[in-house]
Amino acid sequence: MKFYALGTQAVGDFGSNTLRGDFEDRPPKVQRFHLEMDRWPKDDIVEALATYAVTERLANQLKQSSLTGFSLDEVEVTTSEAFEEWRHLHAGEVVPQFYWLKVHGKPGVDDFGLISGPCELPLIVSDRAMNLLKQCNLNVCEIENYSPHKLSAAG
Amino acid sequence: MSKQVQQNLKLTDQGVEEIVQKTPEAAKEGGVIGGQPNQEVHGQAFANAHQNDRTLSEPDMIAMNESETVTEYKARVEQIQANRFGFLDSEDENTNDAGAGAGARARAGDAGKTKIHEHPARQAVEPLPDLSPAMQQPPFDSYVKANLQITNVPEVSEAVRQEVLGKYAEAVLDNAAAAVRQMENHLAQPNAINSDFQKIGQWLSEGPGHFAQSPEQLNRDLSAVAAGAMEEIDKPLSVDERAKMAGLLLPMFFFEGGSEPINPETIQQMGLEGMSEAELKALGIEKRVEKIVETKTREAAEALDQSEGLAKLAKKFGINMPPKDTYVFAGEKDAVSAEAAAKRLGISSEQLKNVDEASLIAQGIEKVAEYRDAFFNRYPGLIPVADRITVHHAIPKWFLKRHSGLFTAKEVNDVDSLRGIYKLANDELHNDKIHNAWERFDRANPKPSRQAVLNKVEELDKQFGHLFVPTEGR
Repeated sequence: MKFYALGTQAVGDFGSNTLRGDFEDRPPKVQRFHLEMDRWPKDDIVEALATYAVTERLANQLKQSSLTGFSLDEVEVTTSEAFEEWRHLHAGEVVPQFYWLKVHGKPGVDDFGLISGPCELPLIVSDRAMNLLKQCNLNVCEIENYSPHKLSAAG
Repeated sequence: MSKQVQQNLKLTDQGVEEIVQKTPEAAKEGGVIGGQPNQEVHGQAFANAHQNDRTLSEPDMIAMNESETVTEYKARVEQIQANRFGFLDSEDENTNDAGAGAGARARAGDAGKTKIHEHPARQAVEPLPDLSPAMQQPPFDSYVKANLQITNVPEVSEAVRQEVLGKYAEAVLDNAAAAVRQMENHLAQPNAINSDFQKIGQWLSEGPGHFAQSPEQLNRDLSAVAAGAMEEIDKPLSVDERAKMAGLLLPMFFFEGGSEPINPETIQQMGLEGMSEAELKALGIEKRVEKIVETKTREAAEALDQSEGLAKLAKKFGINMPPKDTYVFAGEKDAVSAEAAAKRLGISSEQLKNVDEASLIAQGIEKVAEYRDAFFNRYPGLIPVADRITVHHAIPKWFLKRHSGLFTAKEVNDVDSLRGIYKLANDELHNDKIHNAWERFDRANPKPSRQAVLNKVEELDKQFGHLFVPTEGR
């Protein structure tokens, strides 16, 4: 099966209510996810340092799918001053409800997988998952063909 | 351009007078004596000249028809004399005259029975002067039956509608968006604005031929008038403001002495844009740039000509000259105001101001210049367009949080680490591409070295530097 490496939209950073391990962990070990948005979420899947959130719309589609390698949880979303500065570009729009997309699958095997260790594009999705994601907004997301030897520093 | 206009004067011996007037301009153009004093003279001269005239309604002036009997002829003469011009009743006529409308006025004349009806032309742009007393006073000479004059005068154009002018402005804004990149770069050059104002003075004096090279000329002019015009471009504009904008940047055509621009359809139909100054002059049309350009640029020039004026202009955009102090707490990415910092430290702002930097650093606090202030103080030429520029940290602020200690807040907020990005480009360039690139870097570099970060800064400068403001040196 074909797999893709995704560089999802980086909308902000961890908020102060995030419970996490060391920042040097890749991906960081997060127990509670507080996403502070600095930029408007244009895609249905966004992130802060390889910690992912999906819109309610995408979350519902994922729940109804038989895709593997993920679970959904709550995420606290707040917006920063920088976000508010640019809000006018999206007048009339509402920030959607988000869910934490916890990825625990094995890259290149499960539909959603996360490469452990330093890696430019650690989120790996299958062709099947990609087909579902493409039904949603993926305007900012970088999409590359998954090549384990090139992308995985963890081997 | 021209239109036949009738000026119609009818006087009857029953004392019914009807006058249809055109605008004073029309009368003047057509050689009609329009001013009140002249009307009096004209009325008297006319009466003198025609006192012995006979009219077609005099019996001896009415010819007998070929097959007509004498009885029939006399009956016809009597009928003609009874109602020489077959006039409708004046009230009926008034009611039926679509042209009279609300503008029609009826006034009782001195003769009691006499009514004077004035029908101002619908195109009249200003109230007509009252008819001279000589024209209103009886006795009405019976020989004055009608005075019909056909004149050729330039059609008085409708005032240009705001929505049409708005279209002009949209076209200008499109051009402005295309030109803005060069403009910003240009403005970042030393003394750019002062030089531009000198150029504005030149092209204002160059006159109507200046825009003949449009649209490229327009783009060049946009650069030249940036200080005044850009202030208007990016704001949400009302229709009126857009119209004003159009006046700022477009050549406008006027009939000589007129205050309303000729409407775009007429300009197109007449091909005015392609005409030389001489050709336009022959048509009594002038091409000029609205005075607002002069006013705007003069005001801006005055402001920029002195440091106080520049500071005032900067203040308008929330920029302090010199930069104000802000404070960054260790492990945090965003700077806070002196007031907020003092509150967190439990001291007054005044006390905070007196704390030396070494003491602050000992407490994990850095005092840094507010980064927008710092940027525009470095590039004062960009102050007039400050509200169109967002200031980006070349080293993302989150390095202070995610990689605490790698860089100081002073380094991250240093003016050499700041980049201007035009707001139109910011959403895609800064918010998407640059942030995604840094996120990608950080995923792969959990323990980056200073040099690795600086190399990344250089790489992104090379990749996107041509889109920064200013681009100089990148």
